Amino acid sequence: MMIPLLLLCIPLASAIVIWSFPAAFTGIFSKLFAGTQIISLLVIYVLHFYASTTTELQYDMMWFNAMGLHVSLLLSPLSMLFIILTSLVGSIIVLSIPATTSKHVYALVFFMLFALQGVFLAQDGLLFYIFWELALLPIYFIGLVWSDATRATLLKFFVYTVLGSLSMLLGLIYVYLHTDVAGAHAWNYNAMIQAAQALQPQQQYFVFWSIFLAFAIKLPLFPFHSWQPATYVEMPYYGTMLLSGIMLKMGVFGIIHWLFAMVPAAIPSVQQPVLILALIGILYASIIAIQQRDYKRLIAYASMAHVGVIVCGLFSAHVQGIQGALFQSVSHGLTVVGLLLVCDILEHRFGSQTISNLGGIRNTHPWFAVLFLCITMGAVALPLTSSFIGEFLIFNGLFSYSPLIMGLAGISVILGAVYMLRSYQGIMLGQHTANTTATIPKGHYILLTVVMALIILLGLFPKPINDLAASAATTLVHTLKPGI
Amino acid sequence: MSLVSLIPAFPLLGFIINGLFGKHVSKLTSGILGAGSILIAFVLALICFINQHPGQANEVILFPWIQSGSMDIHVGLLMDPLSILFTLIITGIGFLIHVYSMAYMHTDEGYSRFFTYLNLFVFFMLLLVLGNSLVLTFVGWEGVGLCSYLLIGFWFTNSNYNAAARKAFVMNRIGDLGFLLGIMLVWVSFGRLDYAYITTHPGLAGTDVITGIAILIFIGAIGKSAQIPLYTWLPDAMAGPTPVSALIHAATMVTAGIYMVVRMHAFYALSDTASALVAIIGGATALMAALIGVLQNDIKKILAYSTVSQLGLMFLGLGAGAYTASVFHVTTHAFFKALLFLGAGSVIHAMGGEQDIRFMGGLKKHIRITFITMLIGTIAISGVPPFSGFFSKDEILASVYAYSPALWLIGICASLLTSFYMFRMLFLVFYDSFRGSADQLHHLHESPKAMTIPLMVLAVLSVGGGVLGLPEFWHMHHALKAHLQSVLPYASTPHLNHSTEWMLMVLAVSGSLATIYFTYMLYIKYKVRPEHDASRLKFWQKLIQQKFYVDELYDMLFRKPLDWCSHVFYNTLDLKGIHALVNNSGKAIRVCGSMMQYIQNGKIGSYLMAMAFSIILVLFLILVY
Repeated sequence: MMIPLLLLCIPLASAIVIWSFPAAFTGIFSKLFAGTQIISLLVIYVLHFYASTTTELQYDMMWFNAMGLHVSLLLSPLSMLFIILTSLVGSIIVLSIPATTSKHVYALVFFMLFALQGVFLAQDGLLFYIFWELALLPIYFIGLVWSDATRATLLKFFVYTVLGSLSMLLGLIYVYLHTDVAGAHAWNYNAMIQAAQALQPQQQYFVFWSIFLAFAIKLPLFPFHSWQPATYVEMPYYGTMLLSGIMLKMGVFGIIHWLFAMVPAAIPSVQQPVLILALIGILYASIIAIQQRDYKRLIAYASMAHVGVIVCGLFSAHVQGIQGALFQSVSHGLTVVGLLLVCDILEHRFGSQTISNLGGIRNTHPWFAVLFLCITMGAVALPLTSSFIGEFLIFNGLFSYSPLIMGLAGISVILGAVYMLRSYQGIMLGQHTANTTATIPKGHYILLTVVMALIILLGLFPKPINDLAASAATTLVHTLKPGI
Repeated sequence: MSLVSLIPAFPLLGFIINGLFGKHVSKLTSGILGAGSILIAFVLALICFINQHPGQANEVILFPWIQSGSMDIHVGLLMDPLSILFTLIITGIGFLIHVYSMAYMHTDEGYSRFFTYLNLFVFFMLLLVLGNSLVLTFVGWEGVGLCSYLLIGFWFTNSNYNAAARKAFVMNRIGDLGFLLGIMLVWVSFGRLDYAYITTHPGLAGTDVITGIAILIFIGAIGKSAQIPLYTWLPDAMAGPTPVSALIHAATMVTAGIYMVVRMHAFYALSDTASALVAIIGGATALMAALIGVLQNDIKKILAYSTVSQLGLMFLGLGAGAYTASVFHVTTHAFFKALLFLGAGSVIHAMGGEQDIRFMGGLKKHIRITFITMLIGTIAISGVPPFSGFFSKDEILASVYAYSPALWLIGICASLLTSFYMFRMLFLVFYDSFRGSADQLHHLHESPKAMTIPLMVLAVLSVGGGVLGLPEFWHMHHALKAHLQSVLPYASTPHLNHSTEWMLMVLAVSGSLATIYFTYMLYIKYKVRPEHDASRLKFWQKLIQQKFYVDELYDMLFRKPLDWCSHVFYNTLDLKGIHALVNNSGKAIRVCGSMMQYIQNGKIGSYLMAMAFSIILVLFLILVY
């Protein structure tokens, strides 16, 4: 009963404690709370197996009766998967923030984890929306106060995202107005699903596109991506990690948990246009990534390509595809955080993130090279890394829908090798060493090693994540294809 | 835990220990660790081979891996006559090359790193051949690609080597995509991915699907085994240390494509289209690579093109349905090509790093063991009886003749060219007088025992390897055929009458001997020397020496357009297009806002004007409709 609430309280309490204590305590507290985050994750992961009834994983409290708004939370396998991602990647992000950073940043990051977990747990339409918007605020403030991001970039990011959210709110309100629980409207998840499923096809399309717009911008899906590269580049790297590691997965979660569940009948007719957009995005971003000189911008485009593959998996509407997309969400979170950690080291220790200014780092930092190479291999989905499991399942699902689209999306496998290896070699190999005196802090070595170990472990033993993904995907496919 | 699963475990263990602690122990320890782990794997493989009843398969399931819906992939190993043969080749030759490397790499800074990569390679290669399903083979398949990448770019401060490594990885990935699509098609059509099922039930799929699967898997093989059009990475891969060229780019990894086709032979046997494609691509590659090999001057490049050509010959055999013969040739080729590469390494070692045969000559007096063993290798590859290459090549060519005499002609041309360029290399390197610098002459020395002993072992195998498959029309026992029979249920033997077989054999051997004589006349008697000045080459010579400009063509067709697209997509489409569009729509709202400002100017007069015009407009509209 308290489990979901606990998940929300831990990061919120962490944020409040860090914020209210003097800055001298920030260092200790942040490490402590990151540890708490991990430990509570492990405990809850184990507990959720032993939960005899679903009521133990549920929480429901009336909040605002007149609007039918409840604080309603549920820890389903689907949310468990995204909670794992948030806690795991979130802790890595917290631990990677340099000690000199203001305590407000730490507090904001924990607050963001709170909001993100809220998004993944909410079983109430309005609550979901509230958390969705709450998650945007911390990252906006981080960008505004603690980064060199230009006002224009941030404004664009903010306005674009809010525009999407408003569109989503419109769709949600539309469904809300069609709900009928004992003569009143309700924001309740099940009520909304029932109401949405009963809508006419035309109305369903309206609901789909209005809500999908928010997710498409968040992911981002081609052609709604123009906020992304500049924001990724200009944000401090922990901000970028939050954005690409966790925040964009809100889109994946939203598509599965809300969109597919609400309007399953509309999916077959929107499948193709969305898949084509995703496919264009994959190839477009992969090709652009090849010539990028700025490593962080390259990661931004690579991330866009990888997200396109995830969307392909989702909209294959096939059990393997959806499961793969879920697995890949976790895997992508790990690899992209790994790559951004590397990027941080390059910028702050070696003085540049422009590939042509670097080179030969392997000569002086062999272990860093090993870690970087392993994460690079994770990014190109080499077998025995976690990304391979995800991509393999996604491609299977996609192949079942259309071999042609799969074949074209598969080109990203080749292009990925081109841009990832080109950048790795440019940065790490060669005669000339960029900065021989540079040292890499121990903490970063440990974090990179952890990320590498997780990438390989999940590639070898994907079961813990895969079971969650499988259970979510199977339920979903039953909704999508009631006949089967 | 069965014995089978320990075979790949030891190289993996060697990789982990050497990777973590290799730098902290002496070079000797690191080398012994690397070579020892492979030796243990070889011994285990031998024990498995002896204990296994002929024709039996033994599948070991290790642990569940990927589960999704009805998909349930386990990590498991399949030990059957085909995989045990490849396992023996990989670990056996692998061990010899490890021993050789202990001396060859002795002065290198990255000594323990070298053995780390090499052990990892053997692990993935074993996974490739022992994997019980297509997915597991794919794991090994991409894994060896990674190791190949790491080892080609072993000397990572050289940017040319790095480029060669990247080229190999990317070109392999093109093939891998085909392989991946093939796996998907198998999954969609069969609902299973394990060999035990799919290779025994190919008939469950339609003809088109069978052809599709066969072709897609073959695309993977084209990449890995360096066939047209994806062969250009292999000559560049010679950037890696020579033992790597011997192990990965001659004896084992590049034969993975042949393994794959044989493993899936049911699909090729049932699809004439796919088989024809395999035969044609194989034949074309065999001929083209042999032609290029004729005018190369880098000792390793000659051997690289020779490997491409020999692999083409094997595919030609596979296309003709001669699965056993091709596997036989994989085996003998592993013996003599590893020998030739290691011999070349010994030559390079003696020459202080020189690889250009124009600066060699007369080495036979100085490095006697290397000379004799390389002579054996050269005779073996030229198909002179009773050396091993003769038996396997002859068996392939006989089957190809039965399949299509035109392709046989291509095959025989390729093998005559092989005799030519191999003896050209041998004569230019070892005969006549030395053409290098005085320093090099002074430095010339025979390699240490750790290098010459593997050479001698491989020489013995190159001579005697033929006993594995003695011709049946001689009424002899074809051991390999008996061994592989149970895994090749769909293979049919072509029927040629004995006189035809004799005729083909005599033709091939006499052709080869004539070519060797011709080469002898050219390079020993008339002392023809390769041209130093490229501008004096005739057009056709230049064309061949520049490898038909295929690299340049690919550059023009793929790399440059891709780079161009990347620029245009980024600068024009993304920044000036989508980016600007979004920004301008933001601006448009602001402009609208400021225009609205003028309307709300607070003057009653203009409000009244607007009202009056609006009323007139509305009335007008009502009038019209």
